[in-house]
Amino acid sequence: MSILFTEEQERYRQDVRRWMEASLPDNWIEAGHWPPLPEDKEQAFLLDWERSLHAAGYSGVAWPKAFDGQGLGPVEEFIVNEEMGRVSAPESLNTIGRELVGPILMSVGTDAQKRYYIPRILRIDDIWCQGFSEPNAGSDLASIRTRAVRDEGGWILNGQKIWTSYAHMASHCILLARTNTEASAYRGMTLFIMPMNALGIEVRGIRHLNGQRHFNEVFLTDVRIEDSMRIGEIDMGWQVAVGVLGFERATTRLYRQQRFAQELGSLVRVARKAGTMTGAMEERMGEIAAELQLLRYHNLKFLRRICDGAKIGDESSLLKMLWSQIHQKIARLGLDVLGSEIDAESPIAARFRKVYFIARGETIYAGSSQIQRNIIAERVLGLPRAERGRSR
Amino acid sequence: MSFELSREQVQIGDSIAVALGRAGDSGAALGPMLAELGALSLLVPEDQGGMGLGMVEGAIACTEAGRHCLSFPLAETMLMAAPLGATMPQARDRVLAGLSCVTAPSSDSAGRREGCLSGTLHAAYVDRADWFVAPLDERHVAVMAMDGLQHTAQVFLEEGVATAVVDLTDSLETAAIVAMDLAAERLIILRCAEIVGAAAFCFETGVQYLKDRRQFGQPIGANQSLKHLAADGYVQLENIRVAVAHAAASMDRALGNPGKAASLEDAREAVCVVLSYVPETARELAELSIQFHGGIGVTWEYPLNRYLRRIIRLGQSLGSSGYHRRALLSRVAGEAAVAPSNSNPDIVRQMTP
Repeated sequence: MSILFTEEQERYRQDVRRWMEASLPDNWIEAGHWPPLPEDKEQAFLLDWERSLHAAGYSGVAWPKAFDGQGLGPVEEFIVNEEMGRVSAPESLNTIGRELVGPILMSVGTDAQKRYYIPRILRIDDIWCQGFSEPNAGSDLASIRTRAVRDEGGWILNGQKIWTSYAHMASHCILLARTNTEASAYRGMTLFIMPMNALGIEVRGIRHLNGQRHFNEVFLTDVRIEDSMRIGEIDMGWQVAVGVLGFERATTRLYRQQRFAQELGSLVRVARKAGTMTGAMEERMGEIAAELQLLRYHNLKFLRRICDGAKIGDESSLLKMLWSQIHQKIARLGLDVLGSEIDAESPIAARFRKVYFIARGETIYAGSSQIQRNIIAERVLGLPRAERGRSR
Repeated sequence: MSFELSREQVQIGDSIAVALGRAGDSGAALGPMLAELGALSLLVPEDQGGMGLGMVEGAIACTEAGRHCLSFPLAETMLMAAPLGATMPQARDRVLAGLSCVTAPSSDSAGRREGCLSGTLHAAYVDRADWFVAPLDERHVAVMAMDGLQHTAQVFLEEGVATAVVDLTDSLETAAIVAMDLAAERLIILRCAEIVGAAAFCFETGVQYLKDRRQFGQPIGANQSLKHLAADGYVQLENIRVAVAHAAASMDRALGNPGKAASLEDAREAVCVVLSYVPETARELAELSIQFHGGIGVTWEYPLNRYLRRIIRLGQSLGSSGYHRRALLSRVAGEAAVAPSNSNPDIVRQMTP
């Protein structure tokens, strides 16, 4: 633990740890409420939790004070991240705001956009969703067809988005739309801020494999927004989005490593207590333990690079592949350790049912493992691209 | 402190790489050349005529040795020159000049029974080394002249590298006990650095082949099945690189803070991660590269053969990944189910009467 951190940073970690332990509700067991809360109460709790995180100084840690952030550095951000993972703290409902919109606005937003939207993300006045994917533009994001057409100082939006997480509770959407059909596929897209209460937006829920409503379809019919809601330059949305997405993959949610380690620890305890631990099971758990350590070493390495101001590029695909695959191993381990107990009414069963079904999506979203492998093979290792026909 | 190498550290690696690349496989001249590069004296304290650097630099040098499949006990010599010098300064000077070299047990430590050294330890380069330095416990090593030890040098796994089982019984008169902390763990890190270098050579050679070799009118590396294997190989290589880099940095930290138990635990855990992952993954990378190459990959002459054999020779002695994974689990998840140890249970058994 102490390889990178100064004594002052270690003290900061202790403060964070104390706050986390003191602030989680007493019935926060195995990464959730036990007994579980009804959905509306759970959502209200999650919003309260995030507001209290911010009030305590543990959200927007590395964002400037001018925007209600804490004005600290990436190391402190990492520490808070790890400590949230260590207690398996509630997951944010506003990850899109915190991990995508905030960084994008910080890099290309206007002063007015930064001043207005960034504090509102931290205070959870706004919840964001991400309107990138479309029915025919998933991994092949450059094929999006949602159009934005100029109209008297504003824009008219038409099209359809899908897999839009949080759209049913979001106040705003960060939307990628085609603004130029003449330009090449990767040019001619623009990012917008779309208020979800604008006229012409219809949201239809899609039930996730895990049973919950997580993502949505979003239909846009002549939705009108002001030009002040445009993010960055016209036709440059892809370049902005890709720059931030790479960074996002590398740096956000580093708490996963600690959170996963807690999951593994839970399963080790269960297997030992039940007397079902075998040598083979221990080897498998030890392999996951080793991979979690490797993930942490990579995290520390990337953190160092960020501190040194180095650019994080396509090698961030490595982190995405690693964490998603490790988590699937833990998810399968959960099934094997719990056996028929996975179908029981208990905190551990509830936790690992959720882990298993959620983890299926993790090698798919934010760039599937296969896309990550293409990126590594072509852009990191320099292997030749296959000939691809592109049409849109 | 960090994983990013300083300019000096990069230079150490580069200068060794250039010199080894030029030297090829010239055999006898290796010692003096390594001495001239400073590779042999990297870890020897400055007041003993060395450079006084740490495990990070040592690992960089050993990685280059692995990348060139160097037939020289570099890890053993660079690490054990200092304890040798503590008892025989003249012998150390010859070692630092590259005129003589040191070997050490391929894994595990010598035992002590009733005041005598005990144990039968596997070692490599036994025909070349003048000195045999064996870790004894956490704080000491035993320094012995190779001449006084019973062994029969033979070549099995790797051409040009003679190995033997060295019997330490009755060797006490010739052994000097010298203080040295964590010698066994440091040897593991340096050997795993060598393994990483060998794996890196295999993987990079394989990727180059994917770009150069054409079939069906295109480079074979344009095929997605091979691309994805290569991408997985990249992740594996980065994993073992970061594992060794982290272990080396943690060990330097532990050696620099002798009183701090947390640093020592970090270092031990990092060594455990290395043992759980590096030898097995390196071997898989060599196997992957052979698969990339098709027929040429399974010929005796093609260099991958030597590298695969090097990885296996070094890795086999370090114990099975399964054993170390269980040890790591008990380390990180408490309630020891197996005794955490860096030793190979089979070798421990051999040593007990």
